[in-house]
Amino acid sequence: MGFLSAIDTTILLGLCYCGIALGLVVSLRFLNFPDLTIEGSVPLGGSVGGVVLVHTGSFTLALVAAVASGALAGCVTASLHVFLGVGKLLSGILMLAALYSICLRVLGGSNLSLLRVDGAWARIDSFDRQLSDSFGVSIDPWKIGLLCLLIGSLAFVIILFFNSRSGIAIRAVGDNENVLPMMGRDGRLFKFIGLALANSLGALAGSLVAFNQGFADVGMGQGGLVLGLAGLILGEQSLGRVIGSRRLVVALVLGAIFGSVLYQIALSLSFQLGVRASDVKLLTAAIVLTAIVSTGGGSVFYKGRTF
Amino acid sequence: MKTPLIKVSDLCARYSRNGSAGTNVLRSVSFSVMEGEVLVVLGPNGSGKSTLLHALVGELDGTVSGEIEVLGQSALHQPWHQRARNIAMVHQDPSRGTAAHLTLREHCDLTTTTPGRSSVTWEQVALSFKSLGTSLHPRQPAGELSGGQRQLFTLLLAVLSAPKILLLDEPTAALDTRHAELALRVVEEFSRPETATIMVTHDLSEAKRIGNRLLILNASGEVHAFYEETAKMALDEWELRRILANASVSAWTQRLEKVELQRENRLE
Repeated sequence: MGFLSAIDTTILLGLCYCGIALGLVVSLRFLNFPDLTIEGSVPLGGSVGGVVLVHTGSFTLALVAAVASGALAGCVTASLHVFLGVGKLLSGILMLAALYSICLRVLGGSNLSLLRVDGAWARIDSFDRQLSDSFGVSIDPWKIGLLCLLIGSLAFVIILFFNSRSGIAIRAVGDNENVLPMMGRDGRLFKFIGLALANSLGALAGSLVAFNQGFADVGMGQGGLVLGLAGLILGEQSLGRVIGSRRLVVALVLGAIFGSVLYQIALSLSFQLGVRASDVKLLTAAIVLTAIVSTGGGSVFYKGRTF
Repeated sequence: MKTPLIKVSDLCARYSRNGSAGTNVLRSVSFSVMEGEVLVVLGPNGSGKSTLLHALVGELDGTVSGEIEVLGQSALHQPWHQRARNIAMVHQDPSRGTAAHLTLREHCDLTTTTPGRSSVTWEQVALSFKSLGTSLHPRQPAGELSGGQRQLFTLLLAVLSAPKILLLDEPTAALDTRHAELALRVVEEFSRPETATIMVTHDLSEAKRIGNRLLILNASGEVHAFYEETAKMALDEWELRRILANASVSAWTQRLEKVELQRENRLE
């Protein structure tokens, strides 16, 4: 039963965090924009979602607000790059710094407890607690079910979108910035859409993590980008390879979700093997580095493209 | 009197270097191209032939002055994507016109209908490939094509979009003989008769085959000669080759005139 509890928590965390890996699929792979803003969008989503949840008690409204805040952050990064000519990395760094202060403002401090909030999420949590009590071990079938439904629907929508004309245009901008203007279309708009989407996914992950852990914290995004990158790369290497490059969008999206869960399983196993919690970031960096070196320094599908 | 599809007056262009303006690559270039005309641009390396096309389509990373009129409207201050609603351009490097990870069908999905161009369907592309005696799979990513196949696809995408103006920057320079022949057939067979075409090339047989107007730029980026008759294009190719081998445009043009004179004398 201890193993069941560990797997349960691992899958739950993997599903909560997979938004970051999905955000990286959009920004890093499709748009070819190494956007560091995502690391700031995670606590932003947690903060905004947490505050809305505390004030309204509505799980749905809190998620929508978190996603919208992430989209807004992405649009500001795109504005810095497109209108002010700031480089891709620098615009992300600037936004990351700015978002830290914004999160502190939103939270009204460095953290916010969500434990005593009533609403749908609290009810689902109490269902899981009842089941955990009756089995005598901590399990979360309702939360995992809800997240599977949410992430599954999200993956379906993302796959549909990136096979539509607008999604193809975003991928075209990432591949070759000349293609869209040559066809009479303005590529700048698609940078906005892509970065808004990537950061809204990061913010979604932040809000889900905050709801799950029962508090929002200004430092909850720290290392989030590397964590997402680990999920992305593990997913590309495993499920992504199985699906293949002919179904690129499906391979990357499903790969990122699978990779995030896989990464949490790897972490869980390493804890059981005696790795200390304080060494997690070091271990993550080692996993990412190993995966990058094993692919010859780049992505499985985008040769020569590194972070 | 008909309005030229594209009219260039006193065009100067310079690339920006390290934040400061560089030297002029093009100097006071003027010409116009009417409906159905094919202008061939010749000149030695560094004379600004490709720069001219980049300036016309609006993708030049530098300063352009003078006037560019497209369909009677000033286009000098229009951004690249707006000019591309009337102008299609094919570069020498096939990878410039395609996205490596998009499939061929997805490239077709990106095309749009504007007042000056039409969207292109995969079925149109497939049919054209078939008539050229070749075929490609719609789900194949562009990055998996050979250079020749990729250039043919880019060219078809540009030509089938029926642009008012078609710019070709040495489209066959990187191709083998077979693909170069197919590329020329694409231009000849699938271009709308009303399209105004401007082609930069070093290949004289290609120039003679496709062109009916001739613009020669010299090494300083100035117009050395602009022939509005087709007679000059019919010069003996071996003579032109010898002239080009001299690598001096003034000598080249003098020889052109000499050959033309001899030709006229012979005819008399």
